[in-house]
Amino acid sequence: DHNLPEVKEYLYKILVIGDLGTGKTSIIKRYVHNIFSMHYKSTIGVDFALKVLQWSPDTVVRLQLWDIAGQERFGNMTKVYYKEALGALVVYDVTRSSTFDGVTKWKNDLDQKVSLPEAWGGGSIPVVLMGNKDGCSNKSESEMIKYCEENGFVRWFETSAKENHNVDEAARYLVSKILEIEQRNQGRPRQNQNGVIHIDEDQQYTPNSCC
Amino acid sequence: MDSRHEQIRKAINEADLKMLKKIATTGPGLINSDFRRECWPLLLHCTFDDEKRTKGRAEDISLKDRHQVEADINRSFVHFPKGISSIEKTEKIKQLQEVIITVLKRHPDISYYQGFHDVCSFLLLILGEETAINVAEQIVMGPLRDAARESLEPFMRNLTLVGELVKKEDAQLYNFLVSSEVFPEPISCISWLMTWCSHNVYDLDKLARIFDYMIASNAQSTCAYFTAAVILSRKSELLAINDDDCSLLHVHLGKFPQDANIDYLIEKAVSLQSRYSPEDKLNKLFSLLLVPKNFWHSQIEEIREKVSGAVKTLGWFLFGLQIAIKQALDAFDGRSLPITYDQETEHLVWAFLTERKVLRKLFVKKYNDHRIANDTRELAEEYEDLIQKLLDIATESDRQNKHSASKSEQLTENLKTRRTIAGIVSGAAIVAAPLTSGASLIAAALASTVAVHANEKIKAEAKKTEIVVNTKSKLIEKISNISENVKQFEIVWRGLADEAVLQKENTADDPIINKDDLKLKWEEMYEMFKSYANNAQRRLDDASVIWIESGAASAGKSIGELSLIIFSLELILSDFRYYVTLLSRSYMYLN
Repeated sequence: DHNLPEVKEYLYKILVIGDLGTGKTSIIKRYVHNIFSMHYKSTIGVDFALKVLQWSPDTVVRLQLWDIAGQERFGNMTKVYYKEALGALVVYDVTRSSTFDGVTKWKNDLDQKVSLPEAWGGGSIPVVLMGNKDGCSNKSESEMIKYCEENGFVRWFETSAKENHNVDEAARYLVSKILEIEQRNQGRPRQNQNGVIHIDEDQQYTPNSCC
Repeated sequence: MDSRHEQIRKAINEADLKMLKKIATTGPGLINSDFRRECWPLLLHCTFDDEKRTKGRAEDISLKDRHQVEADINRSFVHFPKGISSIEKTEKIKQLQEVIITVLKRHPDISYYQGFHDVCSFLLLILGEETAINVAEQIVMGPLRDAARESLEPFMRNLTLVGELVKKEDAQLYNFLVSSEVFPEPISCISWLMTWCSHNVYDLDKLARIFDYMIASNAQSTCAYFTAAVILSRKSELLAINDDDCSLLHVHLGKFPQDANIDYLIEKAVSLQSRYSPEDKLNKLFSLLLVPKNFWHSQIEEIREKVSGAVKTLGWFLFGLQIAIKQALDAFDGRSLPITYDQETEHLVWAFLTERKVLRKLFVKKYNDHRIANDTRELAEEYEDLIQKLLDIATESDRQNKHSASKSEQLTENLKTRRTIAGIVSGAAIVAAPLTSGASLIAAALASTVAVHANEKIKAEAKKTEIVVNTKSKLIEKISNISENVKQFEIVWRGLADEAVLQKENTADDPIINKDDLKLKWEEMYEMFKSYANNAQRRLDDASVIWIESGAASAGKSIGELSLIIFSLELILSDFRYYVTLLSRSYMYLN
């Protein structure tokens, strides 16, 4: 069918990390299913979620979200977590300053354990910083912009999974960054991506995302 | 009344753990919470001691753990119990905190892990606070110990085991899961393993069935067998997921099938265990040594009545050696020898006593019956390394043997006031010591035979696989561990002997031994024994991985078998030694 555009489909693995109880699971549930509850259990090890985005008429992005338990021991558990991730959301709780202290630790961990594919020239993966919950941040916007620059975050968002504030925007920004990198490296497939990139030439993709 | 009810009641009354284990791992298990409240503590050897009853307070644990525990318990009781009111929930959360903190306070070396709260909240609902504390304590100090270490590294091998088991059973499913990047480390299942599915199964009755099985088998790897059984049972469902959607597989695999038939899955897991677990091979033996509490006592009485000192000593020796030989033969060719004082065994024993070469010849013959076709030059060289290690162990063991024997004599000397029995006990200890070196010599003999054989095959085409190399290096690591363990036993043993001397001196003027003191020592001893058992468990798990891997290359298989023999012997001997020590202690105490 010549009328249909060639649909490009990308699969990106995104890590969602941060100290315990900062709302990683809530953010993912809000983003993927557009629901919120006060009653999520602690995550043990890792949970997974999948979100499909019709990014543009000819681009579909599938996000594999890795919800990693906040307890340090799980972060250190295995390199499998970090393997081939292309982006990350680092979450802290604006009402608990200790969780902001954790942000640097998580970022360092990322920088040590994961980088962009060699075929793309390596380098850090894009990381978005999320100040979650509906409290008041004690940090000013300009302070945060400076912090992001100094610590290699692509951007900072103040979010609330409960109020559905900025969650979509933050994720969207991260995806746009990854797509930028992808497009800069057009034609250079990531290595060892056994079955991960699919270019669907004959079928129009119907997104099954709920939002 | 249901006959199963009667069976359970009878087993509880008679403290028949063997029967309880059987009931717990078959059919509908232990049926209801009333029975479970009685059976689980029994199966886990819980001790109820008033002095231990004080509960922990939040201040008793580190700030970091306290925050973690608080964050986790506030997110508990989500899926069960159904329809709980918020007042009830607050009350339950308070109790849950007490359970966790009391356990952590009693065992400061435990690192709290996310997921332990799931185990505790389930136990709390079924057992009530007091019993939940005791049961949770035994579980986290026993089968789930590795989950609560500073690093999760040791626990991760359970994930590998899950993969290996699926590979053994169903290559198609395994390959599919590898190509989907779910295997070899199915991390989506880590919460199953760390919480015995209490994080994942939302039906209390089903969960209780799973716990029946886990508690009855009381081994770290059991949940890996269960997890493998679940994955295997979902084959068609998993294969039906579109290849292109491999990203969904992680999601899918991590979700426990809530409508699963748990009885069937347990049956399947037990069958996997019986086929692939080296533990099972040893279980019969352990049950001989571990279960009957009164056995040793009645043995003492019987022996005292019947025979003179020399014969008594020999009796102990024969018994221990017989077990060792039986196990070695079992591990070697799967042939089962009954444990009785029969002619054949006696011949073996005397052959061993009089001329070790005879025994060696026997093993050479056994090995030749068992010869393997594809030995290679590289392997021969590797075996030579191995032999060197084994010989080192044998030498070291000989040295320790002498030391141990002299310590034992010292012990005898210092227990003269209890002459009759102490004579028997230390005599037994003295003969137990040479067993260690004997075992190492057997192993060395075996290894050298393997090497001789391998050298004969030097001209055969060299085909070295990576698996063989891995297996070899793992084995060498294990062997150095063994040697390390032998050293530790020696230290323990020496400590005990010294202690006995000390006690004798302390109580020289007082005919009544300080019983409180002894009781304390007894408890220490018990703790030590438990931690030893945990070590042994881990080594067995290692052996299990090696054993499975060894299927990959026939040469690797022979290494695996060899290592099993060494493990078996080592375990038997150390158990035997411990029992001798326990015996001498208990006798002192009883008097």
